[in-house]
Amino acid sequence: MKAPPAEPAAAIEPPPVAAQEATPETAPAEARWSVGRHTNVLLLLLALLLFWQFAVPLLVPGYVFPTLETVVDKFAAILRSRNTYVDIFNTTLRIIGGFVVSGLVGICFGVALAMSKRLNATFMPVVRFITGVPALTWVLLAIIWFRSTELRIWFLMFVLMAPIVTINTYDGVRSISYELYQMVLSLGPNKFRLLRLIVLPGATPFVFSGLKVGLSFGGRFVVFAEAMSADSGIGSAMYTMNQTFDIAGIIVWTLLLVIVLAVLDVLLTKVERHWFRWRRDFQG
Amino acid sequence: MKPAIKLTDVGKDFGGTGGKPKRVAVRRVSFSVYPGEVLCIVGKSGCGKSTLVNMMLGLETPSRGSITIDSKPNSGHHRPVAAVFQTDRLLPWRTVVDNAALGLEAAGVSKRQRHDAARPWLERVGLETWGGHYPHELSGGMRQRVSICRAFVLQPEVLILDEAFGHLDEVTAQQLRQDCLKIIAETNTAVIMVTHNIAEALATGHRVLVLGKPAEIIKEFELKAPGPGERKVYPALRDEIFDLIEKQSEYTA
Ligand SMILES: Nc1ncnc2c1ncn2[C@@H]1O[C@H](COP(=O)(O)OP(=O)(O)OP(=O)(O)O)[C@@H](O)[C@H]1O
Ligand SMILES: [Mg+2]
Repeated sequence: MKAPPAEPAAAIEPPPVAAQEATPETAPAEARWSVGRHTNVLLLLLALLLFWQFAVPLLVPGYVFPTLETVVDKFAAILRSRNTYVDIFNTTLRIIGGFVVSGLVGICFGVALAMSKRLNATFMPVVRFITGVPALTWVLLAIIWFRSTELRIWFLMFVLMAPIVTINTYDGVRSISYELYQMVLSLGPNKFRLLRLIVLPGATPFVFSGLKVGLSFGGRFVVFAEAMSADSGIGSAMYTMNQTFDIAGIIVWTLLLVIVLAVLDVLLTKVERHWFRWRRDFQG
Repeated sequence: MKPAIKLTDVGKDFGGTGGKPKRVAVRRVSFSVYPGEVLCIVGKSGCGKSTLVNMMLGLETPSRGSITIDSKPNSGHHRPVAAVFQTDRLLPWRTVVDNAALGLEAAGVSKRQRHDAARPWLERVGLETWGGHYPHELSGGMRQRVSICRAFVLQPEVLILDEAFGHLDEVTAQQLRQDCLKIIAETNTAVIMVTHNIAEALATGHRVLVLGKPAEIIKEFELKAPGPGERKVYPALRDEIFDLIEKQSEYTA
């Protein structure tokens, strides 16, 4: 966490001045974390915690929703166990693995569908159909088709995430300005350089949103798959808690999963920010 | 001397398949442009000028006729034909120097070499300190200068300016046009300048072609000395061309 700037953007270096030109814009001051900017969120969180601590025990019995203290104690207990970290590690690995494989396949497939009319006519209906199949169907099929729990999970991740990335990439390529595309074509690049110079970078805004949706999808379904079949991971831990009616445990594991997903999302956003450094962003 | 580019009875139709009616975009156009020569093409909006440009760039195939480009191998030219378009068409995710060198990147030239080739051109148009910036940090006129660099870096035999200055204010357009003409004269490039500004055509061209709608040459004017860019605009000639273009009826298929 960075300290807030002592003097907000006081000494801006004069940008290079070209003959008669307006000076280039100074880069917007890097967004810094500060208590001031997050007051509202912190207040909301505090209000929720107070409500949980004082109002919830009066409204419902502990076996329906545990008290704040119970959950905090449970959290501490779970964090003390070494197995917890193995579970978190396994789940994170499955999410990342599924994300990377589905991302790569989805991007390649999306580009191929956008570049070839024939592939598009053949496979686009298939992809759209797959996105319409309920996740439960995939879970059941995975259990019937695969004996290895790891394979089941990977299959589920792939089948849920890849079509999302595919369709987004496809839309991204279709959104590329035809004028820009023609300009690059007029420079006479080969197929590979055409992809690298315009098709892939032109599609990236859509690719990123596809990857983000895919990540949150995959992240939420991986625990589902783990609960169904795995003997390690956050999902299987939640399943164990469920069998002992341990609601506090379920809440703690949910928190852990949310934290893992948030960290991954922050990392992805960092990559996205870096890529989009050329863009003048809309700021509401 | 051989012409740098030669069009013989070139025509282009659109549609005609899948139940769409056939539309003639370019009826029949023949001309040659020699190295160092500036040919201006004027014509009514929608008469097929951009279609003609796209065919010369190889982006569209002519329905009829042929286009021959005298490209000498190993002459230091990276592309036989390069174009500057009405809008800058810069890649927003590439820096100024990368955009200027884009044609060399498409040809597989190494990063150092292509940057070295692009820098002198950026310097020529007064953008030497802007190489590391992104297009959105530049004004419209500066961006158009980058796109001009992108064309000149390729050292083409034929340079096509499709309304290249049409987007700019008059003063900037004038300066940029003069700069371009200087470079063109130095490099002995054949230039095809598409414009709907008759005064611009008369001030810059060695020859002016007036196109009908759909495109065919209805009149050709030879403009003799003094050199392009220094000539005064002949009001009478301007009016004559204006009338010629105005008379072109709206084309309906
Ligand atoms: N890809 C296309 N498919 C079908 N018709 C087209 C296509 N491109 C151009 N046309 C048609 O060809 C004709 C000529 O268009 P073109 O863009 O070449 O005109 P232009 O002379 O450049 O006009 P302007 O001065 O307004 O730019 C127009 O009637 C246009 O509708
Ligand atoms: Mg046009």
